[in-house]
Amino acid sequence: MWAIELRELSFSYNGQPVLGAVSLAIGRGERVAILGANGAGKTTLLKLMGGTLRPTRGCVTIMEIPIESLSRRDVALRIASVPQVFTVPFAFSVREIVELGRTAHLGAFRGLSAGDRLAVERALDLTGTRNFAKRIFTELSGGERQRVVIAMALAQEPQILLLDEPTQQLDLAKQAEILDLISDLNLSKGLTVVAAVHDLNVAARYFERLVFLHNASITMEGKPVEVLSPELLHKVYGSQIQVLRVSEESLPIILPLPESELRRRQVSGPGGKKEN
Amino acid sequence: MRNSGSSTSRGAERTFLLQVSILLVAFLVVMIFAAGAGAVAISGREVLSIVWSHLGFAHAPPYWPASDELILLQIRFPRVLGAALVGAALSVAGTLFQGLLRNPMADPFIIGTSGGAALGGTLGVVLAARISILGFGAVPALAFLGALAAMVVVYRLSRIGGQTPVVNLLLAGFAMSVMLSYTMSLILILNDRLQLNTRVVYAWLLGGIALSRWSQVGVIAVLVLLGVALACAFGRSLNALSLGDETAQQLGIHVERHRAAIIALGAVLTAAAVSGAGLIGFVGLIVPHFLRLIFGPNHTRLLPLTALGGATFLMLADLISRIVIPPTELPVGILTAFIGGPAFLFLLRRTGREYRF
Repeated sequence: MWAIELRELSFSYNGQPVLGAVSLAIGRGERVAILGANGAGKTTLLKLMGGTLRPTRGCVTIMEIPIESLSRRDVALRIASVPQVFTVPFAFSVREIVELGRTAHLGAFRGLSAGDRLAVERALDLTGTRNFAKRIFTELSGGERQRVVIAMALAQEPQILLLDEPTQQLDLAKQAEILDLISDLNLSKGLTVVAAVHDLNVAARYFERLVFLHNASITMEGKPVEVLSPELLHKVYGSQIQVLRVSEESLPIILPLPESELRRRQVSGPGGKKEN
Repeated sequence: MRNSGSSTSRGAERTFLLQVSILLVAFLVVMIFAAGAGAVAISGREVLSIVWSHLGFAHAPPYWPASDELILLQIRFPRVLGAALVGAALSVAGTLFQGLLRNPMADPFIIGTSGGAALGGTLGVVLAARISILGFGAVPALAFLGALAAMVVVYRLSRIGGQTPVVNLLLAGFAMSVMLSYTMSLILILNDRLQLNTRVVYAWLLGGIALSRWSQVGVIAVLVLLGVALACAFGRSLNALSLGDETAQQLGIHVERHRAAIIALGAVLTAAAVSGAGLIGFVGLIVPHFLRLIFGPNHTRLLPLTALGGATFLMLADLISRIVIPPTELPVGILTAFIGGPAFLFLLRRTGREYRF
């Protein structure tokens, strides 16, 4: 059974096509990264999966159910999202934010039940946010905030977790922490994870399947070792990147290539082009 | 300001009950004091005794002059309770707009909702003077339509890509208020030439508690109590909406429906307040802001707390405006402008530094 299935999905914004006839099936318990250049439509694809955007054509099914036949609440009981930008205008405490993850489970007047409290505590524990649960969200550091937003999404007890650039603006150690957390949730709880990721090396390390968006459609998808070829990467990102590979089985390392270096290689003739 | 947060949910509930109790005590104390103060001073003990006997608890024969009882029950209490209702309505409307617009600067007066209500209300007064069947009910009804229309227009104008920046909101609200206020002047001038008495309308627009009869207080009370009760049901969705429309949607809120309901509720409350007391500014701004600093931003608790706090605040302001330069009564709108204006400017300066959108 597919967790998410996209069939011939198209989306236009102000008449400009962003995605054209994209089809993709994501299995339960998979860990998938969506990649592509800036403006390739990664965020749009996630929003279509989460139902906050409606496709111009095509359809999205969640656990075999067409998303448009589900209410907002029913969608929220299955899918949680961690947005790229998360601003809080008032001084909510961390616990208050995480409790908001229970919104779909609650009525207007009913307070949190024992089950709701348990879900909140579990989310705080899983994300390691319990020790600063009393603090004000806006006073936290970037890494702490990201953990809280993930905790809120987990309190929702979803089967699918969508993340938009979960590690942007974090230092390397913090990136590893967040990505390990996401991988653990996927492996131990069977949570289906789909993330838009900017950093190719991060995607290759932490995700089992990569999906490349280019020219409004999926150019290539598969396991990191299989798809991260210099040919594909040059096609998607242009010539100014370098793909280094220690051995045939190992993951490639992808770096930006300075223009001076690029020019030097072009001058030195075909021999210089043979990087791999 | 706030460091306790909510350690456990049980503890938070106890804290909330304590906060409500404190505000309730403040409310009752101010009410008794405000009812007693005036040209004929009535002591707090006497006020309590009179109320007590009217609730059917009295055993001893009355020791107070009958005129005191008449003044208290027919003049003071309608006025004091009217002020309380108007204060609660404005404060809850302010809290609703601030949560919905994710903007601590939103206030029914500043964003033009009060202006819309005032224009509608003026039309109501003018029409009611001509077509007598409409009666007092025409004023709140037209005020509601005016408030709703002004709110919707300002909201649409100031919204850009799902956000409502402070500057856009203030500018759109300002332009709307000015247009509405001059339209109102035009109506009054035209009406004056037709030799209708417009002095009443002018006095009302300045923001004085115009409720002097129990029947008027009754109409406003029904609207305000119903509006506040319904508003409290939206506490949770306001919490979600203050994280942004998209996040609220992802949390399971039907954003469009909830937004429409919250705007309508804000318009009802503003209309009720303006019908009863004309244009009173800044109450919806400073009361929620102040209480949010003390009690935290959680709307499920903030909404009932602002209702109580706003009621207490306006009763107090009305009391001061009645007794500050006797025998003249200042319109309470002047007083709230003198307190609220500087508070608003102070907040606006702080906003530049603290709130980022």
